[in-house]
Amino acid sequence: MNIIITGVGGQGTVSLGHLIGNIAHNSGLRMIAAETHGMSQRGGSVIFHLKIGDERSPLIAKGQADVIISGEPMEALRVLEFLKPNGVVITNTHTILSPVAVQLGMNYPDILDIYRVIEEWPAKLYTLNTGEIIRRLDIPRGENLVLLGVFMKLGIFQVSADTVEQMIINRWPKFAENNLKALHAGYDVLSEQITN
Amino acid sequence: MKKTNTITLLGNEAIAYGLADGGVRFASAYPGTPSTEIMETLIKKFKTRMNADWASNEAVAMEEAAAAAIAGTDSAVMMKSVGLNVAMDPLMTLALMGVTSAMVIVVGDDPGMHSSQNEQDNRNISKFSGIPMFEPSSIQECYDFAREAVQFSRKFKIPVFLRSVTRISHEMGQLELSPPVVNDIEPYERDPSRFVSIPGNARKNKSRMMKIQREIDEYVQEKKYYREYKIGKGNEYLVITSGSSSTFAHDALSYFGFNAHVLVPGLINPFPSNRFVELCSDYENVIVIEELDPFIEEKITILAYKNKLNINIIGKDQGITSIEGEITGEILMENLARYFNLEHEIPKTLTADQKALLKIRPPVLCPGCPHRSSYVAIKKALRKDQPIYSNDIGCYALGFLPPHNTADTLVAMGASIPMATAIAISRPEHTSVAMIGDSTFWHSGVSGITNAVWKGANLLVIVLDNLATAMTGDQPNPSANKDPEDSLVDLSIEETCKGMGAWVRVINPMEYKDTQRLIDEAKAIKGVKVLILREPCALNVVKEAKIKKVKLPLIAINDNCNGCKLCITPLGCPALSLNEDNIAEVDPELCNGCTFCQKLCNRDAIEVVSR
Repeated sequence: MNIIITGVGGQGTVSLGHLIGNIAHNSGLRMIAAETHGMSQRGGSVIFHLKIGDERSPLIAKGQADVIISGEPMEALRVLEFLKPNGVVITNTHTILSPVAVQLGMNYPDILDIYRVIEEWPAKLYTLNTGEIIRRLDIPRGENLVLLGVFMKLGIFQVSADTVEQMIINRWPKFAENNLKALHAGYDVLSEQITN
Repeated sequence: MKKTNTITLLGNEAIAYGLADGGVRFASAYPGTPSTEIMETLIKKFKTRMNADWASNEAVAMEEAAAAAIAGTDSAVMMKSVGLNVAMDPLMTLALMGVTSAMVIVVGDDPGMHSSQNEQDNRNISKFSGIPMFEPSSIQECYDFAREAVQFSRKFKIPVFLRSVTRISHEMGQLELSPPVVNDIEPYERDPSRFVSIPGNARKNKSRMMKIQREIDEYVQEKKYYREYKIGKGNEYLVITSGSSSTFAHDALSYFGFNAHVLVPGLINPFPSNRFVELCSDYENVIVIEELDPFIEEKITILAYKNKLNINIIGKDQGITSIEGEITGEILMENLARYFNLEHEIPKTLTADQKALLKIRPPVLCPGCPHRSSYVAIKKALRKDQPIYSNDIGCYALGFLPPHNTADTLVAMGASIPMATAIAISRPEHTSVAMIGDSTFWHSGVSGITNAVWKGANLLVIVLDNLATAMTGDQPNPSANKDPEDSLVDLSIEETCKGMGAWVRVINPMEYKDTQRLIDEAKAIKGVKVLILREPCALNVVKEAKIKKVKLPLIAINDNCNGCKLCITPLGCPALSLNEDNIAEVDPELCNGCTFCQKLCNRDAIEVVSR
């Protein structure tokens, strides 16, 4: 399975990628991943490629990704060419326009146009406002864990929920309770979107 | 399935583990993407086994590692692609004199120029210097080859290269560790006839080294520093590929169902020539898949001529790979399909209309970055002076982008000051400004100040001092030590410049009106004026607040805002934008509470609130 994780520098995209990669590793799967690095914490686009299986090259080729997980809607569109037809896109709905784009007089596009292009790819699109969910839960952070929860609940990532929850507890023992809340909120979002 | 003793590491971490487990006891480096995490890992994990610390630049690091290895301590030195240029002077002489124990030179190349100013392929430096070069193609090989490089270097008493690329250095994958090697420590033995490179000794060293190189060439042919395997039946094509390219080659050739015999040299110089020539008796068509320069292709072209091989080489001229940029799966598949007339569905692309929805998102200065404030002050103060900005390498190079546009040139580490010196001399009608960060100042800015003062040039040197080597992820530098526990000593940029005879002032750029006044004052003075704009990197301000559990302030916009953009236009802060009602809006997630925007507002519309 090929997964693209994307977002804006500073959103923790690479950390989320490492977490999912290590979940695969701890579940006994063969994995390889690549990150764009260097200037990525300066508000630029960040793409993390994660391959689970026997391929040896660390980058996913265009048209070969099963899933895109994005911290920002425009960034989901930016990597859409990596997605297989009928793949899955999970994106945070909070929009960020680069200050350089602002300087050049650009406006953020109509978000519904972005969603339409993604759905017409064709792709199955799941949208959620992770920031709002975190505020509703009244916890300081965990937006990426909400995204992870949605991804887990899709059922295409063949790992056990126990493994994932145990890893999250071990990795950040002090924040275990809040982090699991965020993960579970992701589960619930997907359940709601599927029922609707 | 998972082996019980595998772990996941980044390529750079695996190299660090390999160096440590291979027996390295002294390491030096200057940070640079994509090589930085090697030294970071050595410092974090292996300080008990070795002396490992950052150096002030790559030449210094190279000379330190060389001396350690000449004195009998197994050593390693790490740098990025262009860092090797800085270290070329000692390198070329070391290549002739060798060392007495082990010395591994790790260089991180950057095909695609993700974070470098050029795309040099340092495999050429291996050939140029005659220093053997290993090239890993997986996380496991990063570890294994780093270990092997130490042993190889010890055996022949010469430096050995380990070349990685961005894709390998920043790849994350699984590997298995082996028990660490404990190498004997030899007592120091004096040998000035070899290590004092005056011409007479250098000539002897060259003859000696030519002999060692012939021995190495024979040794590597037997030792088999390559792997080979078959894809499909393996009988139609011979494929030569190495490093990162070999992974893309494997996936693309497998995808198309080629029948190929694949030869992957792990040591790319000296090349496994004997094995290659042997294989050519069974193959007529040889495909070369390599990123950047035709290094392997030229080598086998020579071998084909010298050995009268009847082969057809399919490589750069046939468009299999390009000399430009990084190899990716889809590009390689497309190129192979085109040349071999293979059925291949070109991946679907977004239409031009769909792409028009994408707005640019280049890297930008972080919210709260002191460089942003510095640039606002500098631009205001120099608006009538036709400034020419000689910029340098660091986060502040992002001043190249609007709204700052504070870079006329950017060439190499430390180049800003000499370039501004020449502008000052040759174009006196302009105000010549050099802009350089604190780490870059120590790396190679000092010699620029020496030269400028000596020549009596009339220029303004702005030291953008954020007390960190920030671009590469916050390493220490001579005036920004991070760990009070370690033995590093703080140096002073101001005392250094004063000592050299420059006019020097220090100010916090967040006080932008005072900064502007100081720039005005500097303009009236002849000679070299050094203005140090000092304020910690915003990422460190945030980090420290978290550690101390202090809440940073937050900006709020009140009803006085009329959407004039006085705070937005000159700043380009990611946390500030205009909302749908054309009123300024703050993104509380992004705002780091530097409160600089408040100083630009003339309607009292920006308030500081608590989080």
